[in-house]
Amino acid sequence: MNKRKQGAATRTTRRGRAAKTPGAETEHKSASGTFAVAAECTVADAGTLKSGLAKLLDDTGVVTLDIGSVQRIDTAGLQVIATFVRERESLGRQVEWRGAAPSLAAAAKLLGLSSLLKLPTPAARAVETAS
Amino acid sequence: MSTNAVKPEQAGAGSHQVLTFVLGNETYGVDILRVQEIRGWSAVTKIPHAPSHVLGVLNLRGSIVPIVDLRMRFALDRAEYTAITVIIVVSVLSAAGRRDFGVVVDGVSDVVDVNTAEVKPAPELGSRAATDYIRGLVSVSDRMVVLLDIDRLIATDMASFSGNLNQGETSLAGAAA
Amino acid sequence: MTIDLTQFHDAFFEESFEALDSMEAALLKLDIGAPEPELINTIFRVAHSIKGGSATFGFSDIASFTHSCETLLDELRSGGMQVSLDISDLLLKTVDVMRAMLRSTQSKQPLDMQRVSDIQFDVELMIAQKNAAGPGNAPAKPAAVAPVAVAPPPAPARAPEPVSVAATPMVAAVAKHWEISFRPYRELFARGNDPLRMMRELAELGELKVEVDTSALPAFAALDAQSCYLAWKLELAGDVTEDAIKQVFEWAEGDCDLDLRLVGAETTAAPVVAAATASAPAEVAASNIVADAILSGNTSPLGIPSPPLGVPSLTAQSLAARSPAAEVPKHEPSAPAAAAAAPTAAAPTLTAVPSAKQDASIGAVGDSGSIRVSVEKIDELMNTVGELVITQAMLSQLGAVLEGTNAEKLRAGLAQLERNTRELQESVMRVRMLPISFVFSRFPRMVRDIAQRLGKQIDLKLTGEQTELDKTVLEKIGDPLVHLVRNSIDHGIEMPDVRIAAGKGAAGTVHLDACHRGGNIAVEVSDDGGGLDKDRILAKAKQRGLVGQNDVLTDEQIHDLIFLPGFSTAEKTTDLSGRGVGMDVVRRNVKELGGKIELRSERGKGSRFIITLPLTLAIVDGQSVAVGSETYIIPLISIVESMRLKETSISRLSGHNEVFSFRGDYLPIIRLHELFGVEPRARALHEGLVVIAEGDGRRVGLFVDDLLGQQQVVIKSLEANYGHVEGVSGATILGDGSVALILDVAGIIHAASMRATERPATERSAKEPPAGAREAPVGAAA
Repeated sequence: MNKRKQGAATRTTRRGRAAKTPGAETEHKSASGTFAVAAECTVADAGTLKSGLAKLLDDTGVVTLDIGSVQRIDTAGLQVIATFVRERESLGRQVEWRGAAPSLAAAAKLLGLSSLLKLPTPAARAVETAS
Repeated sequence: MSTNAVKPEQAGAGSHQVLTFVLGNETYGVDILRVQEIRGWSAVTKIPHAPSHVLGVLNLRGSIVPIVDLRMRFALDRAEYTAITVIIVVSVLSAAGRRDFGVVVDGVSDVVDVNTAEVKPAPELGSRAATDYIRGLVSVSDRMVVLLDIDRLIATDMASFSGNLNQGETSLAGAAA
Repeated sequence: MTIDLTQFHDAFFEESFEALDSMEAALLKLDIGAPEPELINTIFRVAHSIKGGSATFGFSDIASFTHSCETLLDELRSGGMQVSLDISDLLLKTVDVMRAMLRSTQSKQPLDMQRVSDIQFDVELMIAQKNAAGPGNAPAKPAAVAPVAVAPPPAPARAPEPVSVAATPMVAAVAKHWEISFRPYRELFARGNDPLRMMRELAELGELKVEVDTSALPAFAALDAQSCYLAWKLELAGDVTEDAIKQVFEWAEGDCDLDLRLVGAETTAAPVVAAATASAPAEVAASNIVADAILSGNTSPLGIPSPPLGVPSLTAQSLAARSPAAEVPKHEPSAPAAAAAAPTAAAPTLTAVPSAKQDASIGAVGDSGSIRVSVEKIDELMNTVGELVITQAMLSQLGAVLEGTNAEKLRAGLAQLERNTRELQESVMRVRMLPISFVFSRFPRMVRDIAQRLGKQIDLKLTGEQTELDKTVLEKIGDPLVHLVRNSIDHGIEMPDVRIAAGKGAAGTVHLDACHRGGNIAVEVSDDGGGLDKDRILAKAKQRGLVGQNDVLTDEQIHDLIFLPGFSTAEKTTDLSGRGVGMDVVRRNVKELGGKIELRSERGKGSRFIITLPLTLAIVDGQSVAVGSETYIIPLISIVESMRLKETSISRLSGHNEVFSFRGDYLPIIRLHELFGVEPRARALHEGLVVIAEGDGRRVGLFVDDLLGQQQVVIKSLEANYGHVEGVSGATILGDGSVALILDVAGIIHAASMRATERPATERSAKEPPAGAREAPVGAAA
């Protein structure tokens, strides 16, 4: 059931994006979602990761990705997260990070995805919290 | 919205399609899903020391398929093979995997829907083995159709299939002078 | 949705096994005194690739083990250590261990981890000894010595690299600036490659700048999580060779577009001082833009976990204490020599080495002109072509009888179709063909091992390695050949002193040869050893009742005796100079392939086994024979000749058993119509024909009505839908669409002689024990 609703929501937003009028969106949810990214984020887990994130794609609130427990991540895993973040951004929706994952940060840096993900540096995190 | 999805399954559980054919005075039925094709009679190549009801093998689009005469399998009078003799090619599932067999019948009748609830078990006729391959009896337009369990029917033959040549007369021994 | 990673494993295992084969081959070629750099590079690349792949898949044990090997190999590559016999032996053992680990991972079977850790210990000991003994190095490099065992958590992945940096400080460093365009194909992940790993390796080579291209990323909903949409533009600065970069991308080859461009290069003076070695790793680390991030991630894919079973901690100090003092001078000469080389003098050396490497990498790139296709797909194609052949034959028959104005045109078209079909069939068949070198390549190692163990000196000669044969045949011929070669070394080749006493060279030769002969492949295993002792074989055979006491056998018949089951197994523990062990198994394997094996031997001069095999198992050259209304196919390889019998040449023994004389022997007659229960046209022996056929080393006359013709037939399985029929190996479809059975001569002989044993009181079976009787009548001499 849940999945079906998700699909419907996706269609709505697509239309909204095409019209470039945020007001066209009919759904309004204020509750923000938190998604705990699993410890293993490699190619084997990328499908699960994607379907997990898909539920939050159209969340109109702030989505928080908790990466505190991420242990292993590869390009496939990071690509899913990057696509998610990019799409949220293009819809004008926020993604925030919780926790720190050195492996994820390192991977993002090596793959040139740091700026896209806007991972908080310790200093930046303090600023964000303040604002 | 969900009822649509479930319906075919319920239908599947309740009834299934059966290909009926005639053998002597009886009408038999096999699950349509097991039928690969229906073809006319053509000469077969004999297999040495096969059971007598295994007539031989045919070329079926490149695979070698054994042909079983159901009349002989059921110990009916043997009929002549003519241009209208029909071979039904069926798939049999056995421990060894899927195998294709051709069965020679007198003629193919129809495809009918059989309501599973209406299938009656075959009456006990003394020897269990003799009716082992009968899945049940069902009445279709006032005619009794014997539903065959094709796996069992052929499986009972499998064991006897590995040809043993040691019944003849030729010998190698004694070659030394 | 989770995906099953095992779907990517297959390719990894397959490639790894192939890579290990080439590593082994390279190790065997390695000249101890003056190893070719390219060979060492090949060996290094294999270990490196397997390490990378297994790390990606999380096979941490393999990654850990190969990491140690890689470290050792890196020492050899950089000249930090010299290739010794000990090292090459040890490396050969590591090949075995890697193979075993891969195999056990693949089959999910447990593995003897003790052996793994033993060998890993040896490898690390070898590295540690070098480092301990190396002048001035010991205190600086505890972390580099045995990364797995002693490296503190922050450094595991990088431990080997400082070693290489430290080992080549004398060479002038050339700062180059590379621009790399790396555009993976979608299936890159699916092939087990992870760009992240490549970036990490690149970052270790020099200063890396990464620019990602996300333009191909689809909308989130359309994203296939297992496809790679990203592409990168990279800039790499440092003393990095093209080869080193290509090596990073080696396993992605064929799964990406890769473009390397050297933008600028400047030569800088090398740090000459030995003290620089200690600081070098730190500098490199600092220059890597993300080094810190990686190092703090203690579970990065390349992070090598600690060894599986308690490998004792090795420290440079403890090893230094243990290692004999003699080690030190051994290593000294290389260091002063390197130190003496001025930066300018060193520069040409640097350019020379990469050019050799580049040649190799070009060769490797050229390999991508081939693709991997599953055998099932080829078999499917074979089947379809087989159908086409049959359809074409049917049409030709039809066309031959047609009349009318267009019939001639049709026939011309059909003739063209026939040609095209045959060509197509041959092409498809060629796809399945592989050079026999795939099998031969295992022998250098095997021969070396056995010879070492037995204290014999063996020269192995391989010829005709490019002879191609069907993959199925190839796979099944390996074991029989191993058997024959082992026998040649074990029983054929004499000990060096015996050889010298016999006036031969101390080293014996074992020669493996393959060539096309007619429509078949002939594979020969020959040696210049002692040859077979015919008298002893005959005596043994008589003693065992395999041959009558007064029988006189030809040389050929005596040699045949060693293929009898009863004969060989009984003899394997004796000192009989013949080859006893399991020759019956060898012959059975060869028979199963539709081939035959012969033996020629001369006392004192050596032996020669000749295996004749069909090119393929899919097609057989056959003789069609008629028996009553049935047509049977007898494989040509089993046929000696066909003849019409005269009444006078036939004898009947005990009223039943018909024999006829053929070249001085009496051969039994098997009436096919009786065996197969068919109504024949000819019952009198002189009315039909006898096909003299050979199976299991015995000859018989098969009585048939008539010969029909020779043709190539496509072999079809009778067992797929029916079952095994004794005396029948399969079936085929004739031009008219009907089915003909293909006869298995050995099976027919077996069936007939089985029956013979059931019959009481024939002269021979009365004389022999029942088990012997089944296999006995070699030549059935009078």
